[in-house]
Parts: sequence; C-alpha cells; structure tokens
Amino acid sequence: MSREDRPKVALVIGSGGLKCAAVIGLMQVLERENIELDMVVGCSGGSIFGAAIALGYTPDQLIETRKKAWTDDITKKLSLASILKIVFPRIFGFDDHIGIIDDSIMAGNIENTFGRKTMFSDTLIPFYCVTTDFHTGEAVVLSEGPLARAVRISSGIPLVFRPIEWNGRLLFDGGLSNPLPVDIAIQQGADIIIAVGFETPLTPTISSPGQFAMQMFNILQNQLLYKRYAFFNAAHHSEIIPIIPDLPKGIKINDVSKVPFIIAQGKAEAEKHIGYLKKMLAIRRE
Amino acid sequence: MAASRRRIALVIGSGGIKCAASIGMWKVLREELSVDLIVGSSGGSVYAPAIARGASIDYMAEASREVWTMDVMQGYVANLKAARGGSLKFNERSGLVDDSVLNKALEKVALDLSFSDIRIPLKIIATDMLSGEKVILSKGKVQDAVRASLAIPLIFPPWEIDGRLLIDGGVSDPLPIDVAIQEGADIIIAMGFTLSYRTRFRSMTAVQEQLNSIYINNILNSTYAFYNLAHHAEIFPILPEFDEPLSMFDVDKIPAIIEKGEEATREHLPHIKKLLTALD
Repeated sequence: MSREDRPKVALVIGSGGLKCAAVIGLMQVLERENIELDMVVGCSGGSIFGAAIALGYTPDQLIETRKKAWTDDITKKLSLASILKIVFPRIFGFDDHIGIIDDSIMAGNIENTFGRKTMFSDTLIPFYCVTTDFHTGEAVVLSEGPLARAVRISSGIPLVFRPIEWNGRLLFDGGLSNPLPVDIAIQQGADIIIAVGFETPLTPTISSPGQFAMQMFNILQNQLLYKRYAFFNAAHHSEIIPIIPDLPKGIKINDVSKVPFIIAQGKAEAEKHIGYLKKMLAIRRE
Repeated sequence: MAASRRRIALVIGSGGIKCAASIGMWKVLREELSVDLIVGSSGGSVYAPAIARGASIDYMAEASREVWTMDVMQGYVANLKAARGGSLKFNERSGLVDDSVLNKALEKVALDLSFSDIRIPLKIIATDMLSGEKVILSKGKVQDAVRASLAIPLIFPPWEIDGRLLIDGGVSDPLPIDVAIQEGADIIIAMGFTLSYRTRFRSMTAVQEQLNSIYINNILNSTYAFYNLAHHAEIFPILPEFDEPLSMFDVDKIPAIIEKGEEATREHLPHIKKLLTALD
C-alpha cells in the first residue's frame, strides 16, 4: 500500500529528560511489526530522539545516538558567567540568558550526532520540534532551519541551560508550554498518534530554596500535561495511543547507566499497546 | 412540583491582588442572582469566603488592603540574602517570609468562621506540595484553608491541614471550574487572571517568576479550552484586562481593580441574564 493510501501515523515524544530513551524500546516494537511513521513531534528530551527517528535511524542507531548525544558529562561544566550573574546580579549584569550549566558539551554532542549542517529538510519524514518563547510563554514549533540547534533549544531546561535566540525570539524548553505536544500531530493531519509521555517525579523532602522552586515547577508541568492531554483527548479526531512507560522516580539527566532498563520499560509498555495499534491501522485502512 | 432552580457557581481564580476585581463582579451579580456555590483558588480564596458569608463591598475592599500590603513580606529581604549566601536553613516547611502579618490580616477575612458556619457552600483550593495534587478544602476553619491556598511557594511557608503540607491552589488549579462542575453547578461564572510577563530580568527571582507565569498561563489556556469544549454546564469566563502590569502590593490601585471587575462583569451580564431567563 502506498504511503498516500494508508492512515497517517504520528509519533509524539514528550518532555521527560533521559526517560525519553524509552522511545527506543517502542521503535524496536514498531520495526518488528513493520509499522512506518509519517511524522515525528518531539519536545525537550524527546526532541533528540525525535530528530534521529525523523532522519530514519534504526533502533540500533538510536542506541548509538543516545551514547553520542547524551553523555554523562553534559551537566559537569558549570557556567561561571551565569553563576556570577546570579550571585552578584548588579555587578555582572543579570539578564535573561541564564543557565547554570555551561551548555557547550551538550550542544557539541548534539552537533556531532546530527551534523552541524543538517537541516530539518534533510529528514525523511517531517519533524516538529517544540520550544517555548521565554518572553511570551507561547509554544513555538520549529520545523525548518538547522536541526541540531533546534534540538538544543528544545532541551534547554530552564535555569540549567541558557535560552537561545532563534529568528529574533528567545527560546527554551518546550516542556513549559506543551510537554506532550499531541496537538501538533493533530494539526499536521495525523490519523493515529502514538504519544510517549512522562510525568515529572516530585521529591518527598526539600533542603534548599532551589529544590523548593523545582518542586513547584515540576507540579506545574505535571498539571499542564494533564490539562492539555485531557483537552486533546476530548477534542481530537484522530486516535491517540498513550505510551506511559513505568519508570521509577529519581532518573537524573546524567543517569546513562540506566538507559538499557529505560529502553526495556519502553518496549514493555509498547508491547501492551501494539495489538490495539495494529487493529486501529487495519480499521483505518478499510 | 415547582421546577428546581438552576444551580449557580462563582469561581474566582488565582491572580494575587487582581483578584480584588471579584469584588466588582459581586457588586454587579448580587443584584441579579443568588449563588449556590463559591470556589476560590489562591488570591481568589480571599474573596470567596467574604462573598459566601455576605460581607459588604466596603468591608471586602478594606480587607484587601490588609492582605495585599507590603507588610506581609516581613523578613523577605533578609531571608533572601541569607538564602543566596547559603546560610539559610530551608526545607519543605519553609518560606522566605515571616507569615505572622499575613496570618493576622487573614483573621479579618475569615473572622474565626468554620465552613459549617457559612450558608453558601464554599470550596477553597490548595495544592499538596509533596504529591502535587489538587486539594479541595471544605471543612474546618476557613482561615486555615485560605492561608493554605495563598501559600505562594518560596514566599509564604506551606500550611499543614490534616497531615498534608499544602501550598498555593494556583499551582494545581488556577481556575477551578472543574470543582464547580463536580459539585453539580449548571451555570458557572468564572473570573480568571492571566499573569503578566516581565520584560526586564535583573535577578534569579525575576526569572523564576517568569517561569511560573509561563506555566500558569499555559495551564489556564488549556483549562478554558477543555471546559469550553467538554463541559455540561454553561460557563461564563470573565477575564478582566489590566492596561498596566500590577505589582503584588499596589494597594492604591484596589479601587481601579474593583472597577475593572465591575466593567468586565457588566459586559457579560446580558448573556448571563438571558441564560437565567431561558432556564427558569
């Protein structure tokens, strides 16, 4: 059956840090079942895997992508400039480009993985990368221009990695406006949407104002996730299949030794839904 | 048997001092209808009990001045400095402010009343800070509920009720229309407020405020979108717009804020009345 005749299948990978690697497990199942995707939407940590999938990487290549792009040292180097601005805001001129981690390791990894010159137009299927405008709070979807830069922006956890200019707008983490962007897939005409989403875990004890603030932001992001998801489930015309892998609390963005476990959990969750997905595909084909 | 009257709910969302606009809303609505349920979250929790117990417009305006005064920020500057320097001990029960002034001001709002003393059913929304869940408060002392609902993270210490550590209702449900629907309201008049964005960032606090506003405004937008589409009741969202950004403690602007609330409500009034007539 030609691509035009069959239902359009979208993969949406939500914000979830390193947990987004669970999508590799899903891709192993989709490959085995010969299910092709027509578009990919990625947000925050999900944008790294989303870009790779849109470029046509196989599950094995995705594992390599993770190793190359997401090393355990991405948070190792502090941004001295940002820290001075935070501690001495007046002397060093505090501004809106704050990020306490120097993003050069992360940005370099992403460029090395995808290539500095790779553009959105080089992907085999359309890829939409969700970010947030720091000044207006709106979700901004990137779908053309340099791919690695877009992925870096979408993964820009606030206060940790600095926001970045893109066509005159200051953009950062897509999770602040649209942590599981199923609406983008709906707008782009998807018939069936596989949505891989993650709740942000909360901490039971707090020992600093910074942790207190993180707890608040994590609660807000979860509430935003529930409210948006409820809306799109009620509003859409396509079928949304949620894949929410069962993962324990406390997976940090540099816990790379846990990746094989994360992938296995993603695969296990995908296996639970694959029967339904195949049924949907069959119905939609008639 | 006479047809039962439709149940009307008022919902007042989070918005700090802007929530004083609900005084203006009530000024207009009290002439037109009687209310069967009032729900308040965060700043809205200051006004919900006052409306429910029938406080006068003047009293509500006066109480507003005391709640939103700069004095409630007692200790903030010193504690913030200590926090930056790392010498402040901070845990899940902490805030940067000594809350005694706020607690005193809330006595005026709540008058030592219990929920059971108030004739019109009242629900106050807070957030469980360890589980992140929305918590609906409807029994015990009203002041405890309002204090919990107002516990702006990092500023006011969380408030413990029945063993749960509670913070600002705006973090889980900035415009709790869902609570009014669950309670069986047929008509819901919901006053909500978007948070303003900053243009200049001079400190970490400013960036944190911005992140908070981005999240809450996106949650608000999703809330409207969802209930506009999915609800079974009639919902009138009243969103007063303010020409200039208001700081948290612009008490001198309270009369203007009340007026904005009145104006915004009058715009909706013909539609609300039409629906009331149609349903009666």
